[in-house]
Amino acid sequence: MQLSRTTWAIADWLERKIGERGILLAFMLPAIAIIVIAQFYPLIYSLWISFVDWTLTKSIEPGPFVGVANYSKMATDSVLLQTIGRTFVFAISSTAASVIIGFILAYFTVGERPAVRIARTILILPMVIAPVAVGTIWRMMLSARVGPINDMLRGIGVPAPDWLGDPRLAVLSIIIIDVWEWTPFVFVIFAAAISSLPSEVLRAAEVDGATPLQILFRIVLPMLAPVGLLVVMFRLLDALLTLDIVFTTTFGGPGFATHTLSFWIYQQGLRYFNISYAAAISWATMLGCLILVIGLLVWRARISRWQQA
Amino acid sequence: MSAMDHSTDTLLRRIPVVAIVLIGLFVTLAPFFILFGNSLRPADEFLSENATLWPSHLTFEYYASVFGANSATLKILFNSIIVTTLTTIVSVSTGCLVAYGLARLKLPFRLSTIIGLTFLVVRFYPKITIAIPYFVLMRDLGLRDTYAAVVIAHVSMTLPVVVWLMLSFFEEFPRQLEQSAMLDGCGVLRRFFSIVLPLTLPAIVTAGLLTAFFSWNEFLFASAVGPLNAKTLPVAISAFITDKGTSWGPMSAMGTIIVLPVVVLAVIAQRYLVRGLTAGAVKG
Amino acid sequence: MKTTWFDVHRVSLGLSVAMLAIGAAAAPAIAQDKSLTFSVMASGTYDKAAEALAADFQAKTGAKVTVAAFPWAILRQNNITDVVTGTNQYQVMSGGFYLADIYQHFVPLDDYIKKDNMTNGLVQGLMDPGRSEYFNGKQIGFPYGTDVYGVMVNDDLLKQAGVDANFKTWDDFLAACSTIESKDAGVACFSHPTGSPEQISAFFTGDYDGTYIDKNGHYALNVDKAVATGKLIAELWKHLPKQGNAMSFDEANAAFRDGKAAMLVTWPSFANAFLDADGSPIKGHWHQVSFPGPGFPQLSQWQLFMVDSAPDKDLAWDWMKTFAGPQAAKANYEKFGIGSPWQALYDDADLKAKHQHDWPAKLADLPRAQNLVLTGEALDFLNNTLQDIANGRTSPEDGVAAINAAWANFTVPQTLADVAVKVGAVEK
Repeated sequence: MQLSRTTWAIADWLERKIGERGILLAFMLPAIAIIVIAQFYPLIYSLWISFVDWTLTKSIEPGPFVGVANYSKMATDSVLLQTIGRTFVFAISSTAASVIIGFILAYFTVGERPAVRIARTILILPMVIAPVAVGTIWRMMLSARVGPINDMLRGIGVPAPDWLGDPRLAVLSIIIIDVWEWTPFVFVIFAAAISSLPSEVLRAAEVDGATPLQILFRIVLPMLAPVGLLVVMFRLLDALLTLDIVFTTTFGGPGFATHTLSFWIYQQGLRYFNISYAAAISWATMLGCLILVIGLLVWRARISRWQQA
Repeated sequence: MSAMDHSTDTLLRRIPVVAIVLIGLFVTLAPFFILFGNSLRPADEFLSENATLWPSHLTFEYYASVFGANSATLKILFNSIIVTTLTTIVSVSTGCLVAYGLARLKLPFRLSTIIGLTFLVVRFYPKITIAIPYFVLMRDLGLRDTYAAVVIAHVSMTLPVVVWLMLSFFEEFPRQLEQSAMLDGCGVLRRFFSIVLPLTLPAIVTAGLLTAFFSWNEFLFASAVGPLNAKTLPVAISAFITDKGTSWGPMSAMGTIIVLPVVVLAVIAQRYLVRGLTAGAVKG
Repeated sequence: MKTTWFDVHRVSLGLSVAMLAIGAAAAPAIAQDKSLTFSVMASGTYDKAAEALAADFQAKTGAKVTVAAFPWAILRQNNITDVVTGTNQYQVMSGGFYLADIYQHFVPLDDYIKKDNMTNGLVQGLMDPGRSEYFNGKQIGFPYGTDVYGVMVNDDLLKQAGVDANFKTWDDFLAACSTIESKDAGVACFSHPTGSPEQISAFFTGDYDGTYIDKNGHYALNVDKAVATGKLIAELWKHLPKQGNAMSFDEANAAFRDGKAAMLVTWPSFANAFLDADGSPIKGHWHQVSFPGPGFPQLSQWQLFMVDSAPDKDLAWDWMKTFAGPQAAKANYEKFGIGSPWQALYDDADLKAKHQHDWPAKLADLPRAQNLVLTGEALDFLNNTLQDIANGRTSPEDGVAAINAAWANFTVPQTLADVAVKVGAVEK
């Protein structure tokens, strides 16, 4: 314990030397340094390289400044253009489905009975495991010839589709996987939000003879709207940027059928090493996401104000 | 919600509710069951179209080869453990420090708020944007394919969560406790380390869990900056994708190894986890 | 004084700093002493052969060889990443023409080859441009695994359908498909590893006999010929086994073995050992036929490259000789199915007798077989678009237009441009 006494002595000495403010300021340095070095510096750097010509396989040093050439190239990139539409379809469907399913499950598992608590624990699991593991698991689940889902379908006499091999179904398949993985996120937040609803209001409505459906639509849903919008925002952002699932299930295929925005950026940047072009697509994506976030936050603020009024 | 519990207690209304929840549970659990089953399924059963859901014979050869001598997977597992441990330690410790600083320090021009929000910004842009420059940065620093490269990336991505979680706890921390210690002559270091931190331990556990899960699971940065020597389990499992054969057995065994610790921890520490996952969203 | 939280905190901070330092130090430490790292495809054949030889090599030379195995698509990416980022983890790499972007990082092998007389005994023509890799007129790749894309046929099923398997062209092959499937609805015409995105180009090069580079030196396909090939592939894709759109190599092999498909179009070295395994129902009931034209069968010419940053180049060459040399050829073939570049193997009387059903066609096809002259990025774009055409997501016309539009932006590396001139892949 000699050691800890020495440590405290040093601590007290330090405190006398630089004062409380100094220590608190010093507290903030490591984290800020890490964020600046590992996040903001690369962020600014990527903005810069999006304006130069740099393909890593051709040169290990950045090339000349080319203005917005990398950005204008996007307009002629046929893969990118089809990717954008597909990414939106993917993100909106996945968000809608997971929000609806997540809410229903949360609404039906309120309470503190042991069975309900166990159910809630289980329902959270898909979101805490590795997304690449989710992809791996579902590649087996959806295997056309030997997967358990098709086994079951054949068992009940339904034609078994080629989930990941048929381009018309491949996008649906990755939506299903994304919904499975992220519905728990919606669920966990709605479950907390529902349990923090003021019970007096609900009881009063019940006493007034409101039916459960009326309570749901007239009281619960409006009260949950601000949280709901936040959930939608996070889900949309994550879905728009999905990479892991695509990487481990279809690798963008068949053909270009499941190339998403993030996957294309990955291919351009880390596979073909067109890093300045990849940076340009990333920044364009970021601006798009920013507009989306601001839009949703403004909308949310309006709803809250309207509710208070 | 007790009011609603009672009102929905009529048996007729309960049946569809229970059925929906049971379906939800089934859909959630079935893939785990298949994964585990496949990790024990003999190789020849994978190509047979009449295979049963649960393997008819069990084999432990995939696990044996993972944990056998000269196993490449064992090294990868070890990498994952190191990266996760380091990330959690560094992220939680630096995150607690900065959160405490932000909560206690009065800076001009609302700087504290601005710094706090700056951390939050990290949550809102696509990580792929910085993956490539980060990769170039690590190359220039000579850190590519080291634990440091992966750990720093993971720390920088988990700090926002840790900071915001801890910030809310420190701000709600009863000031009287700290003030009475101050009267006893305790400096800020003593107050922080021997009073505040021990009492916010539950929050620290929450932050640690979220950080550890993230780091254990993260794929993009780990694959970009740690392809060989610092390869983690998610990077290794992703390599099965374009493999020649249906290496489903080894793939499932590795999948089980990735999934199992997280599932066990999540079940044990469910209370902490849920608090972390819902922090901010519900209140905000 | 009891241990406080501060101690825990301090210890963990110290620990993490120490571990970071260890982590940073560990990576360079691996490259020390007599050791080298060898990148290879995780095919279950090449990588296994390398691991087996690495043990002998260590016993002989005292040098430890680390075998870094990846699936094809990742191997290509990792090889390129390793040199363009200056990471330099691999001293000897496996690859082929798709590494053209980084040829300048490979050591010319002419002197080594000459010193050890290593071309003596190689199958005729394997060191020609378009088959082995050159940079600035110097040999940079040495072959260790040679395979030619093949068509394997089920003798019983074809006989039953009355089909003569000597297809001159892919149109003949397609015509046979209808006949086969009309005889037995439970049998698909052919199976193929459709789930591996890079395989579809085998059909393209087989049927397409146009050029790949235009007069201006840009990648471009001859539109009419490419569209015709696109149409053919779209037709062919209707004759795969049910739900056969995403089959792995093993699944494709199994469908052929079990009689669910009458033919198999794949790399013979990934299939033959499986088809001839004890208990395989198709053993003795299949043979390989000449690859239909008018294009060319793809050559798989796995080569070893020595990276210019390798500290001990003699050691690297030693390993290359051990792995690719004639001594290992027979074991590599018999144990791992690696198609050999060495003539002696094909002259071995025992093996010859055992391989009457596949070697004659393979050896006859070998002189026609070629590599593509595409970079990895151009090849990916071709493959993905071909899959879209095959699956009906895009028409052959639009697909070929999209390929030419995208290809116009890619640079043709000089070395591939030179090869293209020699093999007649440039528009006149």
